[in-house]
Amino acid sequence: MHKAARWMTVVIVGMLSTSLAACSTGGSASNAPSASGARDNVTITFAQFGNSLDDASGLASDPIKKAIESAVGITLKYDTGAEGFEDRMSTELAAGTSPDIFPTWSVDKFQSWAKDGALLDLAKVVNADPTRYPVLAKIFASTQYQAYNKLYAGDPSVAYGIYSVSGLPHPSFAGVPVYNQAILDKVNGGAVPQTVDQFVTFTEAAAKSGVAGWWPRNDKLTNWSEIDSTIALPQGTSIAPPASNTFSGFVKTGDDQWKLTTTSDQSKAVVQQLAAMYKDNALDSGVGVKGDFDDAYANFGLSKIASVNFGFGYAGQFRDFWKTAWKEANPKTAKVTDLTQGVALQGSAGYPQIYQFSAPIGAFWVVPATVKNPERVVDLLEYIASEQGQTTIFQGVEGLTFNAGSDGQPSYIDGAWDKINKAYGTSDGRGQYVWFDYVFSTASMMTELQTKDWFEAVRNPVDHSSLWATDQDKELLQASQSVIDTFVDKVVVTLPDYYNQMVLDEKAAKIQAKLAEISNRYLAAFVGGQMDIETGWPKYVAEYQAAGAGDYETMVNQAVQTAKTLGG
Amino acid sequence: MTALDVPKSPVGTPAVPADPVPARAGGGRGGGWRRTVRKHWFTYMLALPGLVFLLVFSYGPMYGIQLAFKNFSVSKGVWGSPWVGLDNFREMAADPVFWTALQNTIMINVWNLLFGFTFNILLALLINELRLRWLKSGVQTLVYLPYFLSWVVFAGLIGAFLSTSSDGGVINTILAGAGLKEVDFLRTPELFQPVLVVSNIIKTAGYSSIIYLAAIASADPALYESAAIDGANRIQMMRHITLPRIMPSIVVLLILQLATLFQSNFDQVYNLYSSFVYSTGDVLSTYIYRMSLGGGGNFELSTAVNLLFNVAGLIIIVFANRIVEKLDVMGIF
Amino acid sequence: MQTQTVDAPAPARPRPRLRRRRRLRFNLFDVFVVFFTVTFALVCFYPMWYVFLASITPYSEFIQTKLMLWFPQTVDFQYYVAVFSTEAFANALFISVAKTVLGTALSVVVTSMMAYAVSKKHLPGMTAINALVVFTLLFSGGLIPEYMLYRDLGMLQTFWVMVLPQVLSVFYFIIMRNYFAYAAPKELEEAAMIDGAGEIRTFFQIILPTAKPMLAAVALFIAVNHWNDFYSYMMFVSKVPELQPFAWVLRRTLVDPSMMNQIRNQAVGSGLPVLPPIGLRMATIVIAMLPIIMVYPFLQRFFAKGMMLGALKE
Repeated sequence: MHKAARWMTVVIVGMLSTSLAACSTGGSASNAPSASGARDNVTITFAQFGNSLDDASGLASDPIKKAIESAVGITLKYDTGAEGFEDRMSTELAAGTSPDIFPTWSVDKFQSWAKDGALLDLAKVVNADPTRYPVLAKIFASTQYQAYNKLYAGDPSVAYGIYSVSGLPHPSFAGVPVYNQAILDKVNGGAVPQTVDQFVTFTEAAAKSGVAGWWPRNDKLTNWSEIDSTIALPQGTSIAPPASNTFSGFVKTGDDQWKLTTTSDQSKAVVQQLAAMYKDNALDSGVGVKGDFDDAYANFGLSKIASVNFGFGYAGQFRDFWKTAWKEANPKTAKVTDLTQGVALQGSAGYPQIYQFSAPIGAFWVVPATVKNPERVVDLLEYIASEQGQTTIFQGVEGLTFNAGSDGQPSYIDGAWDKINKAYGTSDGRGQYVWFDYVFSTASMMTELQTKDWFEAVRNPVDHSSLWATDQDKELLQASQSVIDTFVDKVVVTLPDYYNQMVLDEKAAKIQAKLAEISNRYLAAFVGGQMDIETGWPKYVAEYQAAGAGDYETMVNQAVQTAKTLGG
Repeated sequence: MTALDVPKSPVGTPAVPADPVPARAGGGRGGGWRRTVRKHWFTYMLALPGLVFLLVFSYGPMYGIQLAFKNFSVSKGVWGSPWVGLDNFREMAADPVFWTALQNTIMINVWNLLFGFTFNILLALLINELRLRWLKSGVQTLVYLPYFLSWVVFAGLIGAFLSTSSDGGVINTILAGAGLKEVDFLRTPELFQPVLVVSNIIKTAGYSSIIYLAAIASADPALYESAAIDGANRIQMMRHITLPRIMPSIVVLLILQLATLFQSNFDQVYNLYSSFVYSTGDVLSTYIYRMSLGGGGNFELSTAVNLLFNVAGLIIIVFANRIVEKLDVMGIF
Repeated sequence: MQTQTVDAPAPARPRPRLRRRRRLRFNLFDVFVVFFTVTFALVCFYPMWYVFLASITPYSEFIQTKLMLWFPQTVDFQYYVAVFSTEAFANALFISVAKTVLGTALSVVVTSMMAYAVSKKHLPGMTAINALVVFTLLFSGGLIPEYMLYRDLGMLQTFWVMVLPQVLSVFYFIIMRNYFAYAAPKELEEAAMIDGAGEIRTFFQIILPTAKPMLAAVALFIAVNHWNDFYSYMMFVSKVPELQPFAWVLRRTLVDPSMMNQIRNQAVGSGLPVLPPIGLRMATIVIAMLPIIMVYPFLQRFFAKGMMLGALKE
């Protein structure tokens, strides 16, 4: 009994002391040494989304990391994550424990942090000593950069972040199906559909032959962009609800004139067409319920779906799709020619027109205001922006990852980059570093910031992926590159630069969210046959108007005009 | 296995109170208080570590609740952020989708209570009636398994099971084989809530029944024996011995479940629903999720919704507790 | 105690022989019980069985089979080899075991001690403490203040932040408190007290032994929660990959492509072909579940009927 009491006391004392011990050890660990001298070696933490840090030995022997460390005179620490990453970054920023440089993809967050004074004004640091940061000084002096400064922070001379631009060579677009060539041969004489009518006929024929005609990616029936671009836009209407940062749901009716067509009569006709396709399984009747990636990939791989849209925005995505959906299901027989990437379909209104901004900001890289060594952190950013830094990240170290060719083009040393990047959980065999690669361009491509104007450089990043691709990858890339080139010529319409300065306020954002809700609900019910389109459509239109569709259209047109006056 | 030397019947007889004068019943406060503590120092010491953890880790951060009425500013912190009053709540009330989501959340929880909660009890009672020892532990182990599959995986399996016969869905293949009409479970709004309830039962019933099995295990075998001698049949024994034995657990779990009347299992609903079934499947958590990703940036909305429904949950359990105490059953307060 | 007032027959008259005879009667009720529970058990078992089969079936065969019931034509353990060749896994298993064992032990001790103390409602202050605990069942300060607290305590990026904040388990506190107040054999406790045993001895010799089934059940629940918890790592420790628990590794193989690539790369590095993700996911699920599932049969013996009195007789 006494033993028991003693035991209990031991437990309690032990518990309290472990807690105390935990606190004291943790406390000393978190006290980073503060920098004293100007160029002492300091530790700088850089965070990026979606890598892995599980391979400790690979991380320790990474030569590129070492090259950057010695060039900048710092010790680099990496921080990463996928799920929970954005929440963690916000929390850590609030608690003062965040990495020294990290990205956010949310305009809302960036603006509210900037307004709060939570972020370091990079321009201020750079302008205090422009000779130390020549490339950044040049960037911050660019008119377009300052226009963004004004847009986000209200002041052209204040740069609260590095704006990472989604560059042009890889336009984000939708609406090109990829076909199973064998099914195409069987039910369509091998011909690739060129028009909406031909496509619908093909999918119906495929459905009659016992396979699903078409799988347009549409997560839980809340993402209508593939269906919209493939079927609706060529017919001169958009059935999709408005979305932030795109002109989804809108049709251009004149110079800077936009019309919201989600609930137009033409949209109604398109929805009727879709419902008919859905009923016959010409539009896969599992769409929205089955998983886009697991189920649809598997069925496509088994030749149970005749055509698929997955938003093949750039050549590499077709390559990846072929590998994951096709090759894994048919490991022994798969050939590149088994799949055929189709073309954008023409309809009564010709080719679909997909409007995009000339320099959409993909991400914001920020430095917390409370950062310990602001000058050193900016040193790192300056290095990344410099030609030397870009070379290190996108080509590597000479003799180690590449050899300089006589024609000025580098030749890559086989497997060298793979070895470095594998430590961080990539397997796409890319010949460039997986850190810092999208600080300036979200296309993950080299930017010539030192020699070119910022706007010029980030809009035209250098795609050197053909230098490191394997032969099969080259074949795959080439297979889709010509399709993409045509697509960019015929379909993608780049909006004038002043569109980049378009801002919609919070009220508009709330209307937009509501409109998306309403559309998702009605479109699903119409297409799925749960609601009769004839009787349901007026209700849809009424609810749309009640939620502020008309106001939203006005707001968008006004925002365009305002941007034009300011920026044009 | 000699004769049981338990002195009294473990139930029924009024016990002699351990502390003859319960301090709560009034009487000398001040000095009596101190004396009670000194007398029961060991009991108080038992509560101490838990209390420390409670105060530090639960009440330490509690000041964060004020964020529901604030617009959080990263640099000013929780205390320094500006007040926005009830704006977050007003906006919510103006959205019809919110009301649909609220109604669905409550309905799903009521079904879960009516079917899921009772099924757990039934399962525990029936498992307890299994007389082959190996079968009993085998069944217990098997029903416990699905709890460990995440909803991402489990929902995928449910989808495959409920799909059309041409896609190989088992249920529809059976229906088609029997010459019946196929049922589109995941796309029919009226069927979506039943699918949620049943899938929840399969996933959690075995796990939840453990707590009852543990309570049953502490019942006195002598009671069953004497009941058997008196000619009681198995169902009667279940009703009159086993059920009362687990009644305290049932009551507590019932109150705890009532407290979550406005909460929903995001992982479950999110992985099973689609736009097809918003009218019956959209719940508060999925609604908030879509609102905050839909460009509205409604972070404050979720804080406000949580606070509102936690207050509602608290009111419910206080009332439920009152009722329960009136019925002379132990509540949670 | 009123809940226990049953119209049960007179006090116990032990008849060991009779028990044996009772066991022989096997009636319609038993048939129903067996049918019902076995059917439900099979329904519950199938998802797990499916996951297991998917983890040993080659992809090309997997996607062609709609409803897997039995072993595939070719049984393929490549996925397991691949998962085990990934560096992060062994360490994560160790962290998970440490977190679960330590966390559960602390949590069960602290929670049950407090639950027992607070079940003495007549002692001044206990009702108030109980209300304090119940309040936290519904309300919490939220992520940001919690984060600040752990920062100020120096617990961020340490193992302890995955254990200490969860030590007091409110849900199981409430269940145990009720158990101690109403279901625990109070007569024994009171008898012991009257015998002059004192609180300490009563607690250790009467209360704890009789509460074993309940303690085992609660320990199981808390252990399962600990085993499945990845949020505390994700938010508070994620800068230290060496401390990631297995639940987080599993979660990442389900949702984070870089983790999947990590497994695939390391598998290729050890001479395996490039494997499709679905099988790797399934294998990871099986590996993540096995240890915690094994805990149950081990604890099950505590739930066997008669445990309580067996413990008392000595």
